[in-house]
Amino acid sequence: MKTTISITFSFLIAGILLGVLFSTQFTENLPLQGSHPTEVLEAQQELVTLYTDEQMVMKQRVTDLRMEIADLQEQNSYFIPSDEQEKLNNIKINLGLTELAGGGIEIILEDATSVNRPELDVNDDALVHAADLRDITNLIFSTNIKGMAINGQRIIFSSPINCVGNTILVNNFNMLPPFTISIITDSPTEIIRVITDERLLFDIYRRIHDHGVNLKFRMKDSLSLPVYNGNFKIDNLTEIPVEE
Amino acid sequence: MTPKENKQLKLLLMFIGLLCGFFISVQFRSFEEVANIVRESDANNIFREVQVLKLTNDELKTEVDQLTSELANLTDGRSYRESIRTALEKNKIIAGLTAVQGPGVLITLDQEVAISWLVDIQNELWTAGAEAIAINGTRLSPYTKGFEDFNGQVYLNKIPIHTPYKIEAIGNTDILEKILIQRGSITARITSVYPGIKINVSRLENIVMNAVR
Repeated sequence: MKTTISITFSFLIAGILLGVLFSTQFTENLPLQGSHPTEVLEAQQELVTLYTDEQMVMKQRVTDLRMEIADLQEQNSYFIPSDEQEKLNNIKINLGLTELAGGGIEIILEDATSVNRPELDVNDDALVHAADLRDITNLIFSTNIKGMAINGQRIIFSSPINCVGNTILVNNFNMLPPFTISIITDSPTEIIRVITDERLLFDIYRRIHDHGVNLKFRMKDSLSLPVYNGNFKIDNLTEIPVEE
Repeated sequence: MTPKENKQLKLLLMFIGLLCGFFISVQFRSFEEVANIVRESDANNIFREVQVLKLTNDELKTEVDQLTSELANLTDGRSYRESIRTALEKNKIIAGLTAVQGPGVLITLDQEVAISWLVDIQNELWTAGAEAIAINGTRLSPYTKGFEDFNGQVYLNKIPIHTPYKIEAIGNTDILEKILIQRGSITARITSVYPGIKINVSRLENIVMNAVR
């Protein structure tokens, strides 16, 4: 009886081994890791969420502190020569360190309706890329504008715009489509002229025509741009005094 | 059970075992395919995103500390004057309104490239924490108009620029150099698109940049 069971068991094991050998003829190496890869990915995504939340809080703190300092300086402006105050205000406007309001135009960039960006396997040509936002903001900066923001993030000359996987970081802040570029300008038609020139944005228009990426314009009588909430570093810069 | 039935039972068990082995192996294969999809698409990208976010948050913490200290020091007329003067000097430097110098890197491209690549190079440098950038002597600032292409001629700030393109960046030299020469860097990507191009990245102890105006 015992012999029969052991022989039967042996046949079973032999069958399992044969099955494994049979199928591995058509496969690569078996995975070495024990945990499911999506668990590791989920942990990293949680970390991204944590850092993003922390960043939102700190950016708001930076904005609040800058505004508080600016208010105090203005309230006590009688201590300060008016020309110095005026110079500082003008520079701050150009650096995006003041809120801005006025008329202008919005450019809206969207992924093709047929894709779902968070999916692992998605048609890259149907997505809006960080390079698209960089090329468009570069063209906008070649015109006369007063200020610009993307999805509420103020854009200045040194704003980084990067693609990390399927997400886009603007001022190192995570963003998802649609991307609304808000521009305060007295010449919205000039913006439309440069942005609709397909020679200047060849790759974007290829993907608009062939893959359904969406670009549209919206004229706005009133726009409001927030203060730039990134940081400025000058640790390695030394001013060269002007020779008199 | 007869010997014949016994033999049939064993063969049946062997066949069942074969099927089990096959399906177990197929299951592992699909597991590995998910791992490959996840690994190729997301693992490195999310790691980089975590790196960028952490670096940004560290810098924001420093900015919050500096602003908090500045606010705390605003107590009387003298401190307001000093605060304004300090802010004015700092913002003039950032805005490119004063000539500056400092350590950094020089990138040289000996061939013309599409302006989107020049835009991308400056973006990489800002991302890496560059504090001032100049291209062929033109300082990037809030007053500098962007890159344009008219009939194949590249313009920056409405001024034509010619090869070799010399891009200077002042900042943390180690970080700037690393981002330019690491695997998959912007210089590697440009070289893959323009195979004959010569791109040189060099560390400089002191770079001098003029004021923008």
